[in-house]
Amino acid sequence: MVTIGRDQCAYCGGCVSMCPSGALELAETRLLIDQEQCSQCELCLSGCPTGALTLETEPPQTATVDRQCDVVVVGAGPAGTTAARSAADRGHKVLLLEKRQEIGSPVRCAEGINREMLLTFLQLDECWISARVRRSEIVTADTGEVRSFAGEETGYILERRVFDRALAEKAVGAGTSILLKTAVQGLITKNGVVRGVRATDGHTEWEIEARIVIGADGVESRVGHWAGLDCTLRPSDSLVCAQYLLAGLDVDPECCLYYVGSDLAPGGYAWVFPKGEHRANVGLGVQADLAQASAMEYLERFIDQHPELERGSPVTLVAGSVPVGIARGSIVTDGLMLVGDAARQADPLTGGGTANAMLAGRLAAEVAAKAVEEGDASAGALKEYERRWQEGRGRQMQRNYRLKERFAAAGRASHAFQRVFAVATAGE
Amino acid sequence: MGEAPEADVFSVVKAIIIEQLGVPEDKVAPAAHFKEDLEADSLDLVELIMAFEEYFEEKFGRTVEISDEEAQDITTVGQAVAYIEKRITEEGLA
Repeated sequence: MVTIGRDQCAYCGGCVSMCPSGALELAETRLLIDQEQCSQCELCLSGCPTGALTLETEPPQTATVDRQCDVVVVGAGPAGTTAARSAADRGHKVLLLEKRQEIGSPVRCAEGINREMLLTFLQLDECWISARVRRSEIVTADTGEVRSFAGEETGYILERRVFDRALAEKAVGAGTSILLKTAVQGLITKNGVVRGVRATDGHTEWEIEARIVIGADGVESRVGHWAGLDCTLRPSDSLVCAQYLLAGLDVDPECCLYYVGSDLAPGGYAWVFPKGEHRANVGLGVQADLAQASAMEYLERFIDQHPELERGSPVTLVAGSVPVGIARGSIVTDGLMLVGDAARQADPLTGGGTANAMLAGRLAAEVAAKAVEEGDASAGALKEYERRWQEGRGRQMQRNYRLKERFAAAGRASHAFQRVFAVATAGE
Repeated sequence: MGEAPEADVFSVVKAIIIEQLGVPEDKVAPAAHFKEDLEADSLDLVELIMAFEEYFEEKFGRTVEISDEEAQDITTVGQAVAYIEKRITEEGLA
């Protein structure tokens, strides 16, 4: 019997094209096999580039490989790649693990970023900028009121697929090694201290020993949970989002549009972020505990009510959850730090998280480097990262959380909330 | 007799600033500039303005709105105190 190794399969469809009996089918992110149709001809095995297909009679080919490094980073989003780059820049041996087969994909982001913050990390490169933002408009659906802002270039709409890869390449340039399609399955601990991770790529089980583990594994972080850190998001701190990239519509390529309204997007907002003259990220987020329907339904309704958007056609659809709370407990423990969405560092008012993630990644790497150099990776030593975050950008996020709580639920149609939201989004 | 009204408003404003901006007490002088000396950003200022509005609500039971234009002219601690005192007089709350 032919079996599929789920971890190895790259969903390429090579096997499907070679199967003479039509037993294989490529679903969106899954290869399916109909054992009744399968003639056991094994032709598909030769068509598989990743060795994912095997005959069940063969023993599973797994080997355990030990590896050592100074810093292992879990997750290759902006937080992870920035942390890896900064730690490698300081001469340390860094290993970056990404569970997907492609860095930067799928994009789960509205892609807006503040200019000033971005420029503290890297020089602008046209290949990952899809729009330059000079204006914004905030529309309050309940009252029809519109607030407009115009001025200097305040931010960009990124092309995250390209941007994330550029960040990964910078990390590699600094000396980082990357393992793709390698999923972390647990932590290695010695006497209660985190000393590495266990990971697999389907063929190999990795036992990766590290002085420091940096968990950059996103909103769905498991690393923090495994380390015993309280990472559970309350429904009121979760913005559930759906977004289309719409093409074939006319948008002002320099203007970001925001729509707030208690029926339109309870506890959240809708956005139209230009990605050029005829394409835009059109999305909507709702607070999980306030939504009466799915984010998708709210988004469809929003588009239906805006003929200028309805003219467009979807090119991609993404869905995801954005943490809009702040970490309830510590984000470090002995031998481990959390960064980015895993550490709940996105902006509670806007959900914007890319620049914050990069900032936290850099801070964590600086503290990790020091910990490696001084041979002290205890929670006490790593707390310096948490302290520096909380005294800097973290203080602003605490403030934004206070503001978000103040306008929870119904207050979002108020004039006062518009004022807050306007200032919060002006930089994005 | 109680304290002079100016001293009262100043201490209220000072307490709000210390709580929200997390700055040490000795930095909150009348001449202190919100952005330059107290490192407040635009959202800090919005939050401060809302706290001042709440002060009117709590102290006098009166809704007093501070417009964006007026808020823009408040850049120092002393200006905030002067503005609030002016509104107290204008609203007949003194």
